[in-house]
Amino acid sequence: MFQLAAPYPALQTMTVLPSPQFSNQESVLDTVSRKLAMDGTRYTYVRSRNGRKKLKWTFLLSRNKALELRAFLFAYFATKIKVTDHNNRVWVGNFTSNPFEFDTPNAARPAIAPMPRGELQAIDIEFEGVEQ
Amino acid sequence: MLGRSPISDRPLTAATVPSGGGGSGGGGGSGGRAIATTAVLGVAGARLGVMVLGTARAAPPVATSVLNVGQQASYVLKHVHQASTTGLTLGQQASYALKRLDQVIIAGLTLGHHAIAHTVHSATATSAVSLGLSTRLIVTAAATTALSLADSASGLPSRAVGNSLNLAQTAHATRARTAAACDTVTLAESGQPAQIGPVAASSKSNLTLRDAAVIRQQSRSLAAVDVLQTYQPYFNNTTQTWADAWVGLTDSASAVVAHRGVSAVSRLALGSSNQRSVLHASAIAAGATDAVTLGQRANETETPSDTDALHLGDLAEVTVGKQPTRDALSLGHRAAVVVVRLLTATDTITVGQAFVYELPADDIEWVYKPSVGAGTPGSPTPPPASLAYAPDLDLPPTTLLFPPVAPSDTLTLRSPELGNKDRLQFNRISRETRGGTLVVYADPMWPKVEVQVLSFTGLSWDQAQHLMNFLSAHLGLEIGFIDWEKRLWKGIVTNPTEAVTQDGRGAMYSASLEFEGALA
Repeated sequence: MFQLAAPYPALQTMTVLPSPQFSNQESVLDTVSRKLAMDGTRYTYVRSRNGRKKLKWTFLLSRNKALELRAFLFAYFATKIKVTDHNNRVWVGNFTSNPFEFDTPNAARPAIAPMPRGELQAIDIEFEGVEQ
Repeated sequence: MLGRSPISDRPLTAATVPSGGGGSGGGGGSGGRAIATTAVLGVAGARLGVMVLGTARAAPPVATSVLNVGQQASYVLKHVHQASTTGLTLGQQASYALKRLDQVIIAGLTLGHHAIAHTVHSATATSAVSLGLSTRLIVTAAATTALSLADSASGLPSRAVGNSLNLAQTAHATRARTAAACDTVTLAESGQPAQIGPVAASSKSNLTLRDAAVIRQQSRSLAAVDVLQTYQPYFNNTTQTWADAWVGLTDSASAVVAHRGVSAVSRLALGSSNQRSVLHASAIAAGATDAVTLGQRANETETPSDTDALHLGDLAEVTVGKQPTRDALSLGHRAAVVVVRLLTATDTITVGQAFVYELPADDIEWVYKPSVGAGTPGSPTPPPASLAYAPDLDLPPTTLLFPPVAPSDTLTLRSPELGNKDRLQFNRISRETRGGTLVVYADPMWPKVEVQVLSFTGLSWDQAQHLMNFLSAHLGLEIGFIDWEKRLWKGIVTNPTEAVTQDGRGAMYSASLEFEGALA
């Protein structure tokens, strides 16, 4: 289970998604700059991001849930959100994907009436935030 | 009554009076043009004595009148008068000097006047001084008078007129069982040049007043009163009503004929030592500034007209005494400006609460079930709590319309292939602070672009040609698109150059569209 809640900290809306697909990513945003002096001394300059990390998830969603996530993105694409990932780690940050692209790679079976067409949609979400 | 020298128009004969002699002395005339008169008056032990010395010489034509009133001759005249009350009336000698119009006239009066009572039971020492002196110069350069009460200097015409008024008056009562010291000072001073020429002129009136009532020795009843202003009712003839007014010390400066560079300034300095009395602010006729500060010391402040500051300190303090100490402070202070601006400062604190919930359900990961609670004011609009489901149709075709409403040109295609994309493009600003915190901002009014990427296969020759004709005919115009969920979109096609490909024989044409629009 994967939870998105917004706006942070006055949470009003919560969307529950299935766990993301494998190949999810988590990376540090800190950078290091290396300088080499004439005498061979190595100097490094580190720029930290206050513990902020970049995360990527790929979700396979039913059409219904994709519409819910789509509405969530429309509402809170520029708002700080709270994410509880599939490992129960809590993150607070922002979406950084642009554009958000809902792909429709496969058809879901069976279609659940009265839902719209029972399609399966995939979306990649990039997120930058700080773990709480 | 003061003994007076025998002054007359005829020349005087010198009359010498021994310093130890008593009584009044007179001088006789000797034919000289100059007149010198010296009068020495002394008061001591409530006894009065007068010694008058008059001399007359032939030259020079100078008239000098000197009055010294002091203690020097007190013992001389102690046998002549015995009185506890002394009244002085001076001015005759100055009037005599006025007769010499062609001479330089100097009239100087120095007065020391004391009524002293020593070791007297229930005695009151009263000193009343009334002086009148004027110096009038006709067609001369300057006229100056230095004296005390009822003092004036005028010149017609003159270059400058100066009028200085100095007064020192003291009433002492010492070593008495019931002592009363009353010292009343009333001053009126004005400097007013009339007929100001076309040059810049100024009128300046400085009034310095020090009034104190002091009791130095402890008595059974202590009372020290120092009044700078009194409060009196008066009858207003215009309104036929009684009104109250403060009388006493006033200070004013006015410029009647205003030329360039003329200013009117009124400064009032007060020093009141024993008790702080009442000073009514309206009694100060300040033109553009009205600032009064009273306390242990008196300050006058000139501030702009839109500022009015009043600081008062009032204290009544008796170190040793049986009488109750009273301290009453009454103020009337007003500041008026022509333009009044109403400035409003508002500080609004908004306290809001938010509420979010989650309803566990088996299908919560697959169906449209956002948990929308209550939010704070100003938060983004949450997604709708429910979704308007489209009717479940069996592979409905898609349709391109022009115009979107009441179309005149319609193209029907089969549903697009799987792999269609729905791109959401938002405008937002992402900035990173120095500390590494990511700040994202987006205005709700900024556009949100949604692009549908569709690919069609299995089109017939006619459909492929019709599609290209449709795009060519309505390129850049808003068209309608009814998707496979029967939703109507309005927008434009952004990839008209995308090729139509023939993948095989028969209806094997494929095409793709990028449709940028929004749900109608």
